[in-house]
Amino acid sequence: MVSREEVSLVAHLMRRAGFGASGPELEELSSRGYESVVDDLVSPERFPRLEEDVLERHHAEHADEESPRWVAMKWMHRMINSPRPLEEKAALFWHGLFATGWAKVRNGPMMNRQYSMLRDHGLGNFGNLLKRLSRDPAMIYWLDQQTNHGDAVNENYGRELLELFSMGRGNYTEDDVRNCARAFTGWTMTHVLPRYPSGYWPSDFVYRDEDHDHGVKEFLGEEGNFNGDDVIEIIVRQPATARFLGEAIHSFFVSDERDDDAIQLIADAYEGLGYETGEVLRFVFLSDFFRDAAFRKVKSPAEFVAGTVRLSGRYRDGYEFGLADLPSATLSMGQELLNPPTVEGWHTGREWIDSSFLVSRVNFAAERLGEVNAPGVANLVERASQGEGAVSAEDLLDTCLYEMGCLWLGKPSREIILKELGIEGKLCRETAAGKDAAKRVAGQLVGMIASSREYQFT
Amino acid sequence: MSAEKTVGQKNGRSNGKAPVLVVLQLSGGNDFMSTVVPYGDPLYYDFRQTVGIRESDVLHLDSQLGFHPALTEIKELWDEGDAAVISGTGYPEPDRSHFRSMDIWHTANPFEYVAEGWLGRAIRALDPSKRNVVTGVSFGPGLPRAMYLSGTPAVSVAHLEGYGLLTTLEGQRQRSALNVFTRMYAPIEFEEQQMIMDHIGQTGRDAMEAVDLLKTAPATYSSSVEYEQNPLAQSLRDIAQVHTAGLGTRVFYAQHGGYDVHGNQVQTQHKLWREVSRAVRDFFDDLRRHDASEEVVMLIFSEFGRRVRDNGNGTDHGSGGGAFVLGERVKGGLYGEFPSLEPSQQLSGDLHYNNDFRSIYSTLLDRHLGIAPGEIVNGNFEQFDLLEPVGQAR
Amino acid sequence: MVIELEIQSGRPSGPKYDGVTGYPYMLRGGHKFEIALGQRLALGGFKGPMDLAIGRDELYVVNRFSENSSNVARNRFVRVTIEDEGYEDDDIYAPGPGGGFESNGNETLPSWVMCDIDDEGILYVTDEHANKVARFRTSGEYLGVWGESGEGAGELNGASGVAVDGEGSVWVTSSRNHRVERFTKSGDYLGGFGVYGEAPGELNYPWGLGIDPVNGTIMVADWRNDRVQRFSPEGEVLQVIGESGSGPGQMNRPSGVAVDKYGDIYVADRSNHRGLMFNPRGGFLESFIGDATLNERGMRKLMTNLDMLRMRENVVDLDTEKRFLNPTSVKVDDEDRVYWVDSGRYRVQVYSKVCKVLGPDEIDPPSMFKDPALS
Repeated sequence: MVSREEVSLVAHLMRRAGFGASGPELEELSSRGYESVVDDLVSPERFPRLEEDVLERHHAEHADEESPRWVAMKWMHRMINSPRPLEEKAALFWHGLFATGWAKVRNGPMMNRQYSMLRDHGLGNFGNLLKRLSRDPAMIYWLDQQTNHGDAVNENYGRELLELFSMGRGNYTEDDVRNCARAFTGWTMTHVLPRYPSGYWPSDFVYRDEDHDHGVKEFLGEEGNFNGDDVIEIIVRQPATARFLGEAIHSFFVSDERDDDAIQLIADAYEGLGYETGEVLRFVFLSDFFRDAAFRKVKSPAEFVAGTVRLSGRYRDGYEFGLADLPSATLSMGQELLNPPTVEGWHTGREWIDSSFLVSRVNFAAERLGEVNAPGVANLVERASQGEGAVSAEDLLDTCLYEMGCLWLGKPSREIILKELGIEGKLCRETAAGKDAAKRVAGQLVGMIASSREYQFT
Repeated sequence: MSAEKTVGQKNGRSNGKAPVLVVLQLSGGNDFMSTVVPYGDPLYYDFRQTVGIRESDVLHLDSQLGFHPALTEIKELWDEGDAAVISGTGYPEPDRSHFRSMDIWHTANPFEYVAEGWLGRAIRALDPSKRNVVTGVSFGPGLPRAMYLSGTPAVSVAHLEGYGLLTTLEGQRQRSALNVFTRMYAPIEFEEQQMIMDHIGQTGRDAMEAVDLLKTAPATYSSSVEYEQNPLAQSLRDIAQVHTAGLGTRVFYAQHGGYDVHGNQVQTQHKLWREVSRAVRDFFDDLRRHDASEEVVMLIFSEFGRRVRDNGNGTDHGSGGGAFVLGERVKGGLYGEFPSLEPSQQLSGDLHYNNDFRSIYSTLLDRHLGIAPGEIVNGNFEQFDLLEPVGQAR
Repeated sequence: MVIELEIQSGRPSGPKYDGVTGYPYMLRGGHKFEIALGQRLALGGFKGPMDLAIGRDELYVVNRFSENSSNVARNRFVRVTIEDEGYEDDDIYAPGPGGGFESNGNETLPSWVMCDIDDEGILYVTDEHANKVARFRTSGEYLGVWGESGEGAGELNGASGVAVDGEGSVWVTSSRNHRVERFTKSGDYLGGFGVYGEAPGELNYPWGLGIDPVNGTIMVADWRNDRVQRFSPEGEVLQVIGESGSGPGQMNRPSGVAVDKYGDIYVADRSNHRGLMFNPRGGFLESFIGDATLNERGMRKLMTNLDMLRMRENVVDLDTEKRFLNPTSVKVDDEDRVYWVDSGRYRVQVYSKVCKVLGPDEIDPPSMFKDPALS
């Protein structure tokens, strides 16, 4: 029998490395041991990709043109269902960091291609990821890289590569920016057919040697006839890059509260582990600072929606209608997938909590988890009301928290909920009527937990 | 200290009520050339062979321009001197993407991608100490970027009817859940993370307060005006309810979609503008009957205009467009020159904009709401003289 | 153009359903691309065309799409003719958002899939989430729905393919029950066949249906088994064509199937983005990848948007524009035309078959004829 502490720790891991797990899933996972679960998470190739033919077939009204909504819908479906949850989580992490928006790109196939690239390579080598990013048509167009010519440098991509994607402000000079941009001259994309009259068309990366500035460039103290890949290799060697990634990983995977010691440990891991993100995440998940950081982050809307829906048991089958509501839900909470407002990505942590956004969060959770016929909810309530003998409201509350994935509820909230229920004594579960009463109370408890302040955290 | 202005002050209203701005967004790119028709220009009929509006159908404004025939009620407002039309609106380096162009109108920033909206900044200026959680209220599908500003409350309501927290629950269960919610979001000492807990608690209480305030509006409202049954009319009716309830809301937002008329333009546009025209007229009539019209000015805008030449069944995305400013304070008339249809004067097949939209924003912020426009619209723009001084309307 | 002469068996003799008898001798000369009908809805054309039904002089195209700004599916029938290139199209039935019927307010049909037309000119369209078959007159008059949702025989679960046979029976695919069901025109249940599996005669999530006009057998796009199968009306499996893959004659999630009056079989090989053609024995003959050129309305669109025209000039290879993207259905008419519903590109690509039917005395000696199915 696995201890509650172990189950609780695996629950924390699954919320951070994935999109949460229910009581039964957690029991199965924890029986394999925490380290083995981490090992599986960082080794997605052990598990098959989700089959999506049924999903595509039954969502033909969305799937017809790879619209951004469709890409976002498929992504939400994967967050809920993928046997490789860390891949999707890592894609979300990189999407926030390399924030590219549909508003400008305006091309579904290109946005889909970028998202797929982040998912497929997000756990691999960081230098390789930057090389792929620099060849990504959506990114090229997003930061005007196609207008960066040998004889007319556009610094936009060169600057953001240093400032927002790798090193952070204060670690390079304006000359470095200019020379970085020069190294990327000639990195462009094929012309895309206009959307009309027949729809969206993808684009490919092309390198035009004749448009490349072949001059000698001085970059971060090194000198040479650098091309884009050379610059990326230099960037990756910088201690500032490791620290930048340490901060980014810490704030996305560990905690909203800055912890310089932990950040330094992650930065060191990046250098020590050859810039392999999957291995760095293994280090993070096995670290004490991670284990101690449960509920130290405000859920992002994508985490909130995917996690809540996952718990409700909906959208496990690609046939199920209504999946398109999920991208709308994250939008109403302030996060439109594939359309971050700016290249800086979303403002996270406390900024997810805004009065309109909070109303959307509370209402969404109450609606989805209040749906007693949803398979996940029905199962949860059933399990919570099972067992021998009589049960107190407080025991029932603890069981619900456990079944919802070892959730946290502070003492004041517990007392408020129990007082409101006002159940004196115990509920007898021996009779059918008693069991029904227990189920009813459990259903009510699930809704109350989902509207709590604590539920906003992951 | 609130920036609220009342009687006697520069921008106040004679009835002593604080000025209120209603923004109505027409989504999809309204074809301004079919809304305010340059029927006097033969080029119009050359370019608009299939979707052109016949001179005999146009509601004449002067010898050159006229309203689309569906704008009957807005024409009445025009005749009453309460409608200003600003032609040739746009911004430098026009973007023909709905999303980007709408973002530009929302953020008042054509050059940079920013997250904050111009009305968000206006709401902060109107109520810097956040005394009123319903200073800004949007009706329709989600909070528009225009109203968003981190840390400044703005309320997004789909429909006033059914609006609230935990509305999917019923009866005793809902009351119970709301009780719990109220108490769980009260100031509470937590063992850890007190700052973020306080923030969530405060936000929850604000949300609750906004819900409670807004829910009182329908109860105090009664009206002899019968709005039509369509989402826009219902949104404007919701705005009338909240405004007449005197909750102190200063900025309202409503949206109306479907203007992306690449095809089937003639029928679609007619239907859309019938809805707008009637709903707007009903709205102002309703406010007047409640003695609550004088302080209200409405801006109607769209993210861009459409191509000068039609495509055989509709029109495609263009740039230069136009806007309406309506209300009793408004000095009715035409503002800004209608852009030339001469091919040499067009901008890649579009009407060439000649009025930066931020001029309209600046006018409304400064001369109506009484707040400094510079930081809100990112610069100083020439203003239109389209508002009567306080107390001299009508 | 490759001219291929093929032996078919003689006039009806032998077992009725061996997949070979009953078809004429013929010379096949391939297919000629005719026209691309319609374009995007934004031009008044199609958006998300799924299937079409062939009327007396016109086509009825099922469109299924969702506005980007809403989550609600919209469905409509569009009537077009070949003569006007689908330009003068006409919504014969376009319910409001959510697919609710304005006429009775009760039905909600959010997810139209496929359609057919009977000899009285009544259109049938399936809805895969409501699990109903809706009927319309070609005027657009709504005639109501039939079909019960469920997992038993005669019940619909993921209703998708629909085809009316020569006897006036309406065959409907109950995809998620892995069955094909037979109804009267008014929805009375007459029987059906199909069990889940991958052995011959078993089905896995079938989709489109086609009726062989020569002998009335039923072709089923056995979607998740990557093949098509021929059944007798009694449910006996007669023929299995295709296997998983993207090679010649292989299939990747085929969604539609049709049989022409010569017995040739056309398959919408949806996820391979192509069409396939087989002879009645199942021998692979030809694939279609799309040849669409800009039609008049496409040209007009470009002429009013000069920046688009400039963009096109910079594109090195315009060939991709011709090709199919997720072709969902195929239909054939009596005049040797083949209609591929090119769903992902919002158009219908029309080909005409080049062939000559021969009498037995014209064939001499028989050994000169090549039949790929036998080689």
